[in-house]
Amino acid sequence: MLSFFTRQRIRGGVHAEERKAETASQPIVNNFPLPKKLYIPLQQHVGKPAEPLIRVGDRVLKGQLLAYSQGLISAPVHAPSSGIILDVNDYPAPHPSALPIRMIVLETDGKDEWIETCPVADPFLLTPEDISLRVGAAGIVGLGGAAFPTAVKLNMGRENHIDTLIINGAECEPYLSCDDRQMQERAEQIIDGVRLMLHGMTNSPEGGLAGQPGMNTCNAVVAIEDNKQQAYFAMRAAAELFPQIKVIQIPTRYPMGWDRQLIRYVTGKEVPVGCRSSEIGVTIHNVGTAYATHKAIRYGQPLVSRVITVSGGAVGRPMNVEVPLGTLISELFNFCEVNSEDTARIIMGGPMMGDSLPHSGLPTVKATSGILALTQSELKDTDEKPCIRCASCVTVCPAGLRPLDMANNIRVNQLDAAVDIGLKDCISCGCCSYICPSNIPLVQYFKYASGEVMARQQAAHKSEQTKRLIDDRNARLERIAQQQREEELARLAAKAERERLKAEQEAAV
Amino acid sequence: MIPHLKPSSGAHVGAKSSVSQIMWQVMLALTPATVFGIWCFGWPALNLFVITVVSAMGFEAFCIRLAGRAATPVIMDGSALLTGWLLAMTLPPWAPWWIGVVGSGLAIVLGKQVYGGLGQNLFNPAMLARVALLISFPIEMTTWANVSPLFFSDSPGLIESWRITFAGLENLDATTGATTLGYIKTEFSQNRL
Repeated sequence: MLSFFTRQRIRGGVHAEERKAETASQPIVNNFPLPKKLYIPLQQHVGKPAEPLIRVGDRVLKGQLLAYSQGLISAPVHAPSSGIILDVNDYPAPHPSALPIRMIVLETDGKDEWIETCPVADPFLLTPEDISLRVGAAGIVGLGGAAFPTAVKLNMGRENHIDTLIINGAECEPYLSCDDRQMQERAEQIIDGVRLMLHGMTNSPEGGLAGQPGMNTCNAVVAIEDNKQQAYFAMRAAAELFPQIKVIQIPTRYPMGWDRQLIRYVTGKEVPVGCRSSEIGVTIHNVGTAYATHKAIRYGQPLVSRVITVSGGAVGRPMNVEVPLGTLISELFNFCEVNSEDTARIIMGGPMMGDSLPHSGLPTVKATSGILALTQSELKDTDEKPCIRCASCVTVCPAGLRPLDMANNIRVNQLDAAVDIGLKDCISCGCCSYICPSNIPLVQYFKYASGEVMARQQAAHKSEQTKRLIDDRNARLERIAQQQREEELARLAAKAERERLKAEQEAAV
Repeated sequence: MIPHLKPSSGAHVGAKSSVSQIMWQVMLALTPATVFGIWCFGWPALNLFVITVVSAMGFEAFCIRLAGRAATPVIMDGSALLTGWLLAMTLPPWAPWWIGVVGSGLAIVLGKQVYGGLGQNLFNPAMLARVALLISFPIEMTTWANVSPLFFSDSPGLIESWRITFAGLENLDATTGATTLGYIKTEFSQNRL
């Protein structure tokens, strides 16, 4: 009862039907048959796509670098298994549009032969910069779904003064349980990854050995929703020896795993609009990312596989399964005995924020936390009715916006008015669409409007550029004409001068 | 491979809520006050309540048919029922039947359907109707009956209640009306006293 009054309030959110039990109760399946072909997109992260450095016909080993990162925010891509490069070309992307993007097609040879890796005996002797470099080289990105390159975040952590590292084990999306299972089965490795991350963010003086007591005041908080008791106990046991890592339980409420919601709950601080969390001294990573960091630093193994939840009403054998990146969804569905006739929608990610995919011939990527095959009865009704202004959407919005007003503005194409009342702060969490009794597809309006606003800004920018070019050209022409006039005048003056001299000479003669 | 599916944005799952469910929730919340009100003011109050609610649904069905749409699903959402219910709760319990019918007509036609139906109304239809009734029929709208609970010996019986509702009030022991306080207030505000 007392905790009811002392607990920091959570803004908005919904309590969706969890449907995690089927997959959360059984261990991660490790015997997924190696697919014949893997389709590895060059962009599996936020930022610039990676640049391939292999050629068609090359034989590669598992973990070999296939494409290197280019630019400040990017991540490399490694071979998920050994085999021959078949093609580097455009294939449909795992995106609702399924538009083609560049991918490397790898024909596996079945040997699954690792490239020589360089394990580190004591990674705490490495400098923090070295940790980030190794994490970056291993192609690790945020595995919760955002796919932001982890090394960039670690670097930002060193540059800003970070005092709290939050490890996000909320996994608030319904159906998904891959983080839950990983925390239960791989708690020690995850905690080791957290320690390495803390080490990687240490702001050490030049040349000094970092990570020594007293030098680093950054603490880690592992936040786990209280519907994952076993994961909580496993993680707490694993973190017992390390006082700088605290494991806490947080209330089960979607979207608890949204970084700003989690930061507000854990630290009591609000991330200001338009700022990054690192600006208030907090950085946040997913538990899966911590595990990948552990593998990359301790064993030198790059990110080539991940745990994916395959679930939904149309799935015969729902499970968490470790698959090589680039595995086609259709192969996953075969393995998990998905009934294709019952499948009404394929979703990559969770049912609240995930993208619906047009077909199953698309590859899984680093950010794929789950693949759901939902039946019609599980989906939200689509018969849209008029808004009755019940304001349920306002109550559940975790960003404190007024979804119904924004949607009304967007409907009549007043996008600026929608931006004025906070369109850009919408995180597309789906709470408003979830709760709406009139089945209004609010998030769809917001996604459309965000895209449209961006396109208009780009068009405005382009026309401004064109206008500047035209102005510059006019100024240049004007300058040239002016110059020509001056030259002409000078020429005439010189001619007159010559004639005058000539006349003088003639007169002298 | 699964053939082409129509893309859709999240949330893909939804709460099991609907417009009619919200209407029913409001009605559930109104029930205690309604039951108590009908008990307090006897059978005439029940008559007026039923007349108002039924005529509200009738006007709704009429308007929907006029627009060339199927009336049943719209009636089933409960919004017209709720409007009639809310209006009935604001009427004097012994008001004549035509107050309820005219009020429902004003609420549904003028308050709701001319704006475009459910969700498009500018004002609460029931309250708009109440204001219109109060302006148009001030005597009927300000004639309040004394409390005469159901099944009490001096309360009107079922048969007598029909006479009250359909034939108007007769041979009352006493009536209430505006007192001189209202008159004085008006005159004061206009500096005539």
